Amino acid sequence: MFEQAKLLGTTERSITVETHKGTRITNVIEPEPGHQQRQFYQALLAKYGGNWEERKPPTGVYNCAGHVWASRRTALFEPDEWRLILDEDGYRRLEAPGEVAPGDLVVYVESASAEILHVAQILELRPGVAPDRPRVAWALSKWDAKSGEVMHYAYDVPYGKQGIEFSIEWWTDRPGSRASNR
Amino acid sequence: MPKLEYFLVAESMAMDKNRNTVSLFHVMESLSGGSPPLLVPTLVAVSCWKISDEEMGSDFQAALKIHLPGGQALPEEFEESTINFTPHERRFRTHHFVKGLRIDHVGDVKFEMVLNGKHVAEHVVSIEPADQGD
Amino acid sequence: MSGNVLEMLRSDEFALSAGFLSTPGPLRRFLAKSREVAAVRRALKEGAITEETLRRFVAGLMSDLRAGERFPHELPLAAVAVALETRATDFAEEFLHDLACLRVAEMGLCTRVARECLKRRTSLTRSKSRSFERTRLAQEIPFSVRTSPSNGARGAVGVAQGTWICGAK
Repeated sequence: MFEQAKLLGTTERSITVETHKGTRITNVIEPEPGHQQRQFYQALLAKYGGNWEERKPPTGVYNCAGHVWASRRTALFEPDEWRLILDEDGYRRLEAPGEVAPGDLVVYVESASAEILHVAQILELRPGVAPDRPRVAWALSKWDAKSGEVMHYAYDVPYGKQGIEFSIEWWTDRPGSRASNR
Repeated sequence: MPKLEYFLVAESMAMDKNRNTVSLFHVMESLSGGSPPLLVPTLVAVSCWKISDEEMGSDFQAALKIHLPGGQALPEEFEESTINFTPHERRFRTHHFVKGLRIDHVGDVKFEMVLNGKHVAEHVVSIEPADQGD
Repeated sequence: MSGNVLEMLRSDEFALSAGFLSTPGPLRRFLAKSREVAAVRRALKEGAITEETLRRFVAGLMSDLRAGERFPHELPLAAVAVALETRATDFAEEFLHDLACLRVAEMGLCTRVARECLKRRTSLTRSKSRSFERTRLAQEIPFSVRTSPSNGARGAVGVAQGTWICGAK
């Protein structure tokens, strides 16, 4: 089975990506989306991203983790390794969304498995619904290795509409007043 | 070594591939009818092995040894009744189908299961003269 | 009906429902709970589709693979992998192993889902059968063999009788 694919041989290409402590991270440079996939992306935006703002059209090469941790050079696919990056790169988990600042990370975790679904970068804190309400994190996401980059409110993600229960974690590389690494 | 969960000899078996379950028909306990020589046209010896995490990926050999009554020699077709398996699952079944087993004497036929050369279990089928039984 | 069950895996509706899920674990779980994959499993169980049907369907999908281009049918292929995850047949084993072994960037997503499916197959029981047959058959001996309960046990008695040819020695 899959003779056509076997004839292609090994076409996966990767680069060297390591954590701050030198642990190698699995990665694959993803191919560019085709015309059909670019068109379908518009249907996905229509379904899930009514309030999103596009920063960049569909592109291959990298995914969400590759955007956040590999400077858009490649895609990182192992959520267990994402946890390793958070640990070995010295990130610390924030106690409350009120502590979030631009440059911090928002991590979406599937409740059923505790596995990370997605990671995005906080761009700014936007005013809340009223002056006395908390400011709301505005994030930049690359949803997958064939989508574009969009900006969105941190709570405005597709997973709830897909029936996937998830939780949100806030992480920062900023030093804390007390050591509280995960 | 894998732990044997069950070892039984029956006339036939069926496997439901959708549910991955095994059903055995007419588990053999004793055979009767006529005077020897008797022929058992088909039988199956089914073993189910429980595999530990450490054992997964290791090679095992399940050998079915048949001991016939009256010192009857086993035909050479049945002497190397082995199944080699390398399990990657928590359970593994081996099915030894035996066809055309001739039995020349009344007495006990002992079916022995040997794993990697070590005796693990046996199942005895009694061969009875025709005027006994129901 | 059989065609519909598989064609649903190629539908825009199905692809839209999967959204942007692209990590293998969550995508595998999403597919396992989807009604489309449940329909494929049910169709296989009830015989509405056969493994040969699936093989042809997969071959059709694979004909669209082009070097250097993202494979357009990763989601249907991943869905088939999840549908076969609990199926204890040689075809399912071949499909999952062959897909999981690929190192093709053009179809990385479905390959990773197949590996997730294989990890879960350790809970499946596998079987191996071998037949040992007496081949030197020369003389016909008419007789009957009765499988009977052991002494004291009551119950139905199975009878197997007929004429067999056995070896002379």
